Amino acid sequence: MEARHRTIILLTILLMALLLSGSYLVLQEINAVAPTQIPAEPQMISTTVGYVTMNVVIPDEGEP
Amino acid sequence: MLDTGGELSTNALALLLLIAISVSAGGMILSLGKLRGTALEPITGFATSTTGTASATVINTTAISLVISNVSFSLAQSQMDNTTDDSPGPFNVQNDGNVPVNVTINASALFISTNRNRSSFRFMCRQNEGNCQSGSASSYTDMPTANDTLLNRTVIFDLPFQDFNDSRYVDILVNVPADEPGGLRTSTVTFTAAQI
Repeated sequence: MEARHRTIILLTILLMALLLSGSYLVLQEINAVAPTQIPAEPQMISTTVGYVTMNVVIPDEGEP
Repeated sequence: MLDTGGELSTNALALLLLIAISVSAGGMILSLGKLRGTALEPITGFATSTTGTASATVINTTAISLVISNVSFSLAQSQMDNTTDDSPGPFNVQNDGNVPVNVTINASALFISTNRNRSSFRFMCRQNEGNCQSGSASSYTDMPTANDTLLNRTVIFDLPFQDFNDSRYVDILVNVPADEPGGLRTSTVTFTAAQI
């Protein structure tokens, strides 16, 4: 095989390698990026309840 | 371009290959360049810096709870009592979130002889793990009645979230109206925390 033929084959292989690596790099970049995460809406208000109980007693006025 | 046999010369083939390589490399550089500055950045591959950055976002959460949620009195008409002496015990409001909050209060009517709480049912802030900040209810204040026009009043201003300083007492004072019938009454007290 002539030297020039070897050169052509070498260049062709190099071209294919470049094409494949370029495509691989671009796909890697796209796949590596996680979907944009939208933070949950901050909870600005919180409510809690308590209870006040009142037993209103009526004094027994009949007792001394 | 063509040799004597009518075929492409080796030099022409090499030139075409070189052009193809240039186009391919140029396309790759262009693609990577387009990715830079977008959400797809950073580009992997050759590291231009020896340091990396990790980032995390902590979402603000507003949350309060009542460590003590029930206050019970037993009084006769025209009698008055409060929780200042811890008998009965006061409400204990705790900030369970990760932001400082202002806490407001309102309550349903406690007595049936009046449809407004007014001076018969009052509240104030008292220190617990920390002091009540200026702006809190530092003295007994009339309890807003739920569904009133002036629905909420601030009871605790700037309640921190750090565990060692995230709770305050809310004292309650009741003054039984002279014409209140005997029996058991219950009022629902609503505490609302808003992120500062």
